[in-house]
Amino acid sequence: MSAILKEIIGLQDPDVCYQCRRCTSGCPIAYLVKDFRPHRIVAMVNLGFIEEVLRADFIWDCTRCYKCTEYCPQRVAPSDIVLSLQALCVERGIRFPDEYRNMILRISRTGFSFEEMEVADREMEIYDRKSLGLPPLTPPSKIDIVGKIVLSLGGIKE
Amino acid sequence: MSRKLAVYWGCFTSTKQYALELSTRRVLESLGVDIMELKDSSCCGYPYRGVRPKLWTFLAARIMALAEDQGYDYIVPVCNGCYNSLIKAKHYISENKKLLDEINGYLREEGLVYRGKTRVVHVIEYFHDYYDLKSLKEEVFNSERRKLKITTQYGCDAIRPGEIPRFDNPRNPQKFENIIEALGFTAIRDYSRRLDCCGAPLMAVNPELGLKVNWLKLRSAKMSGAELLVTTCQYCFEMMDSRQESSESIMGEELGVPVMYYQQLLGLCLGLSEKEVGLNFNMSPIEFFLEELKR
Ligand code: SF4
Ligand code: SF4
Repeated sequence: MSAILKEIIGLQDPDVCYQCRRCTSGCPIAYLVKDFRPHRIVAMVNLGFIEEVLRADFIWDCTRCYKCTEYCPQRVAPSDIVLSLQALCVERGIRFPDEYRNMILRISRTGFSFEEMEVADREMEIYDRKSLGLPPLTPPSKIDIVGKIVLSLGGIKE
Repeated sequence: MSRKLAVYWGCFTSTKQYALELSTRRVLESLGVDIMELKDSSCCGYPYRGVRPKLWTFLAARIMALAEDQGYDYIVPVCNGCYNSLIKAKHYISENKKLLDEINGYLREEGLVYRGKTRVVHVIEYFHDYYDLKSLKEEVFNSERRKLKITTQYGCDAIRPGEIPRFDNPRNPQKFENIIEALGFTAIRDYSRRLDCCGAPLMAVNPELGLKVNWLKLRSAKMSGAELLVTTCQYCFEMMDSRQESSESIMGEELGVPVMYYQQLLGLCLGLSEKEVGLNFNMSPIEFFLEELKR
């Protein structure tokens, strides 16, 4: 089963996990969220409980800090597994957070994930790029081509 | 010797974190470095590495292909996320010929090719190894600053995962502290959550959890005894500076940790004004530190 996950993103092999829990011991989210245990996620994947993990909200609680991956003695990369699970979730239409969908749409129009904002400073004075003397932000010259590719790879129909 | 530098600004800096762009521009000008703008630039794809991995690799490769096309040997993304996005995508594509061909198929539509030649240099690495520590010291060092203690936030994306070659030891990096000491300050090289996450990646899906992570991190930085925390990452900055207050209210305890970008601090040391380095955008209590710095 982990072959699917590997195909999506993983460079490492989760099978060699020996459940030492080092990943969990340093995970800042495991410290705060009782249900979030990277070593358990790895075990579930290895035992084939993919459907169950995919439907668990906690896979979206990972803060993507890669500490687990950095300190795993077996080089398992739990963070990549969590990210692959998120990708699988989206691919299967189980969950695709709106934030991402909107951002991808914005790239297809402007080249960037975020809208240019007006920002207030400490004195509540409002600034934008222009009033700060920063050069204007322009979309890539071939945004029509780039935009199409972005939508297709983002799996979004306009 | 004239110095040139191709900077990749990324989305978050150019649409919101203006203080980082301002201070970076002013600092490089003061140091006599010409900024080369990466033309036709776009998002680096990093936010989608989880939900749409192929979109991520395409967008990241696109930035590096642009840099190659415009003749740059190396580029400096000012954003930590962009930095990790590019070096990770580079690593990942280099191990996957099929993906490389597919991505080049897309890039060709725009007349671009990805060859993987451009070096991607972190901001800290740039000051430490390219501008270089010695020149920085010659330019800025002042021993009277030694009384001020400063600690760091590298940000996860600067250092992990360490299996991809980076600018410093992923388990005990020192270069950030070195470029702080090059200005004359005392760097605090350890606190318990020094290499931990600020919680920013959670803000899209679970903000409350993100704010809690941030608070724990800030408290640990505070206990280090530092009078200022500096970062080069604008996601960390937004969390630790601008969202510090929200974190405090969620956890019900005030911390009051002053936070700045490294480029802002460097700018001040170069004699730039507070406004020139965008310090009016910092929301954390930096006044005390600024007063100490002037004394
Ligand atoms: S640190 Fe690695 S080997 Fe240990 S439990 Fe976690 S994934 Fe498994
Ligand atoms: S990457 Fe995710 S699972 Fe791994 S330590 Fe960080 S928060 Fe925990």
